Amino acid sequence: MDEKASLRRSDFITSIILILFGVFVILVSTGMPMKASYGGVETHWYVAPALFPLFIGGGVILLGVLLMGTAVRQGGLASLLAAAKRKTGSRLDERTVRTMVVFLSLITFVYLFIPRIDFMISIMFFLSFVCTVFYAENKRVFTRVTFVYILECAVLVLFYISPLARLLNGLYVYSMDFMALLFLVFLYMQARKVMKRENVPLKKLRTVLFVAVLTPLFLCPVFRYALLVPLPKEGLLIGQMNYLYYSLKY
Amino acid sequence: MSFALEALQQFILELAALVTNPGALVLLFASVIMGIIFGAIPGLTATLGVALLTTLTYGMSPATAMVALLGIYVGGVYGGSYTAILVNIPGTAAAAATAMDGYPMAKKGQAGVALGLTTTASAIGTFIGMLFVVSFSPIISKMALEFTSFEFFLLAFVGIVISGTLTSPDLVIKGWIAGLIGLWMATIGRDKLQNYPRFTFGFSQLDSGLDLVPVLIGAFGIPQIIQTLRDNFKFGEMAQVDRIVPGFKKIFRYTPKIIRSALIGVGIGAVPGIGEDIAGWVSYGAAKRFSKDGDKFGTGVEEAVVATETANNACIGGAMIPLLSLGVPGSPPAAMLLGALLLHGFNPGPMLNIDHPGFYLQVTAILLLASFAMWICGIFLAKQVIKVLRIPTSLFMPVIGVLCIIGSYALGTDIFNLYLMLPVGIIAYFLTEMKYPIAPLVIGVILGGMCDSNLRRALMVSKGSFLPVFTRPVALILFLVILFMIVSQTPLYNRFVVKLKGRVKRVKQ
Repeated sequence: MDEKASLRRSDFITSIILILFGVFVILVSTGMPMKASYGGVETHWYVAPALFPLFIGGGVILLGVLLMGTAVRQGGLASLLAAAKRKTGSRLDERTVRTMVVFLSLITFVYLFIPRIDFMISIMFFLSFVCTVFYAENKRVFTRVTFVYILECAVLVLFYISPLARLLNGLYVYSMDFMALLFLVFLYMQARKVMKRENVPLKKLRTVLFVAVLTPLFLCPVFRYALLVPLPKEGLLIGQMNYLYYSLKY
Repeated sequence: MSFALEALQQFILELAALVTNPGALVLLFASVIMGIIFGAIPGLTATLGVALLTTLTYGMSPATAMVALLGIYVGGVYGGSYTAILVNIPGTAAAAATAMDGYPMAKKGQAGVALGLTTTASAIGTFIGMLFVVSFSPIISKMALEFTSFEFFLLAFVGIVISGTLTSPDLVIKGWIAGLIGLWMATIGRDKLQNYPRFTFGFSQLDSGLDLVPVLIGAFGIPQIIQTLRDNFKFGEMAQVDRIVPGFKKIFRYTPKIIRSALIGVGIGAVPGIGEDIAGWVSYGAAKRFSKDGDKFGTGVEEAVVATETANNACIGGAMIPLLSLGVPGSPPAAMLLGALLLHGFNPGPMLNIDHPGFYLQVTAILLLASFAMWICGIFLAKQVIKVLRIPTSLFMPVIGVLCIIGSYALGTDIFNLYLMLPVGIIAYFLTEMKYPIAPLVIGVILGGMCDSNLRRALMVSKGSFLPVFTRPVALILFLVILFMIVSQTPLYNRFVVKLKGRVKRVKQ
């Protein structure tokens, strides 16, 4: 019953988003040419590129309204208002926190690390963080390692938006990769410290290290040399790997 | 008659070419094992397996790529039964019905028997599905050659409506909304008729539209990774497996039931957009209804396990029929397979048999070998596969995350694909949480282009008139199906059905 109420609550919010989305689709579509002239040939409304998006936008609005109606009828709005009153000052539950940490890891991996840092180091960083926080199964390890990770990401972001990054890269081309590697070592040290304090077997950290190092060590050469896929950022480690591979090959 | 003999000859040649190619055989067995592992681990699905492997097959010849992709598809659908039987947690939705009687069998100390029965039943199911692919696909594709743009538009739309209606775990309109979102995603990029950029917002990377593989990996992979890590999924105590018995004698006894389940599987697979999970449940329900031990179902009945596993694997063949003959995927993994085929220069649909004669037979031969490879792996390597299941998901899923990311990137070697894949994955996660089905969204993305260009082409020919929908028989049938699907979800229709049932009851009395 509680699950259904929460579902209808989110349905009510979604229905508003959907209606707005439908309006957006229609607005953008009306900006597309409904009639045009190509080489002197006049085209009609039914060939217009806007036709299909207009149909989709209309459909989304209609279904959004139906969803809103269902949500209101089945108590979604009432439940939303009641929850809004009740929830003031409430804390996030563990499930939400875990979800947010997975989001954080994926977003930083894709938008922060991959475009800027050597792909091998990026994978190591991502795996080290995610595997440590979830595999350790300890609340303090989870909190501490996540905190350190956020701090390191924030420093990296600040570094990138400041002119310092350009300056350092001018001095040494792999300086950012080097910095990321140092951050990674620091993350491990912090994880080790807190795991030791919390009596979490250090074997777990060794397993994480094994997975975090072995995975890119296997994947990167396979994609780079067997499937001939140039990796997103070939920096400190992949650059050396390329050097070694081509020296041995030729 | 001579045509059939010629086809048989061609089929034997295709089979011989595969059997005598050691590389293809190794690849087949490797991908089947990979599929079994993907199927067995909750959170990983056959669809995700096919999606990730698509990246690796880019450099292969189309035939070799099909060996790998069909191998992982067949293995993935079967693999779900492992955890369903051993820990009562189906590895894939397709094996959910198997857990109903498979786990009670394992608790009685018959895990080996159950696994043996599912292995043999799955192989037979795949084989029967294969027979349907080879016999029906050419006929349907020949019929589809008569289709005009109206039929293709309606066909694509039927796929989305049916998929939305039947796969929605909550309100049916949620399935339709997901389908419309998928259709909208398909409109992004330059339109095919006038080359006008739609919803690109000045991003040149969007001009060619959304790349299918990153979208599919995002939609199927990212939500699974988030859910598994969030819930800290762990297996409970696994049942002991002694010896895996193929159970030929028992299977022989269940022949009529196997045929019925296979027909259900093929039939459901052939309906666009709905997959192996529904086939498994429908077959389970039918087996329970017609069995003399129906009341014992749920306590560890062998017949139930055989029925579900035959149906979900027969569904593979069923899903391949509309995929190959009409270009409409029959199930989510088949949708991914469609993406892979397009990537390799194949355009599934009525022209496939003309552009690439013999392709159907090649697919059939691969399915036959895949079912054989699956049976061998299932009987002889099951214990080794079970060992892989002991790897904690908190270590396994992040690695899958890396594979999703590298897989999305590798096809176009464009980081923009990653920027696209992640938001799609996060949106798919929220949609899944709010009980929106993902299959119609994906089918919408895949069939959106077909829908859009065929609608406008059809209207161009009819000069803006919708009349051909009512004058062309196939178009009319498809239109009525859509209409029925929509009307049947209205309260008015439900009231009418209740009234009608009441009247029938009164007349009977």
